[in-house]
Amino acid sequence: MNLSDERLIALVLISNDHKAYGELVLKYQSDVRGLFIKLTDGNKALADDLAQDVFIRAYKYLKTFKATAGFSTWLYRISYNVFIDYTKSLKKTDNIEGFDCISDDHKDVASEIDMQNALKVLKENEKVVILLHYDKGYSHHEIAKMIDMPLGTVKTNILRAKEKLKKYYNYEQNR
Amino acid sequence: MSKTDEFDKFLKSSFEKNNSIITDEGFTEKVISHLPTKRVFTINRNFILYLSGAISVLIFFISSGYKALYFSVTDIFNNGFHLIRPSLTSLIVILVFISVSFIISRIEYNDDLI
Repeated sequence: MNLSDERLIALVLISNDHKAYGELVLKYQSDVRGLFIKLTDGNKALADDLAQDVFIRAYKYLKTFKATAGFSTWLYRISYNVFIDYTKSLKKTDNIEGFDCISDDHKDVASEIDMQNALKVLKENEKVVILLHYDKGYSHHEIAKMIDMPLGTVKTNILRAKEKLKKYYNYEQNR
Repeated sequence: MSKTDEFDKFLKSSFEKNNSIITDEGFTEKVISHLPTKRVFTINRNFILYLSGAISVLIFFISSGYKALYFSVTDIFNNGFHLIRPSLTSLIVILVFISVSFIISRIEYNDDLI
């Protein structure tokens, strides 16, 4: 099948077509799992569990999806909620485990570890907005709308995150 | 280029470097196997048809429809036998009865097609 997202979503809504939903999952799994690997400091197993939760939630609430934004944007919104729920539950128990297992097929493992370590210096909200902005390419406005956060807060989070990353990379001194 | 712009560029390229495609490796299958089964409330089409049929028959008897039908049929037969034009009421009753029977049979036919 090579159907558009809208057509696949219609098939799921009308005839509860799991195969059509599988097509959607297959199309976006890499983006969502990739985001969670970065958010969970490279913990691939945890990232997969959270990504699975995202796709199950998306399936449950598919009828609330409005085609004004893309399906991927909607998935990132759910991803943010899933991640925030996860961090809230963690605060009651323990911290995020360090990365025990980085994807094997990455070419530049050292660079990835460095990136994961850099992201560790950021708070959850800062991590999310910096990834959505620099990794996924969303504008400040789009992020604010996506995760229901005031625009000013998004900008502040990005600014703070950038300052922290600058310090981490010793960016000013290296110039 | 300002230092901020340079750092933005640096961040973008750092993220790009670490953006490799993650192979599915059974992830989709796992998600599909965990999807909740939707409970859809459906009423059997035949049930609706038989129920509405039974209600119609009940109304038919309660409102003495059988009497109207009996008189209409006998009226048409008697008048037809004596070559007299039957009454308009009898004709309407027979026409309505035939039309309703035809519509019901069509509903059944269409149901087979679905």
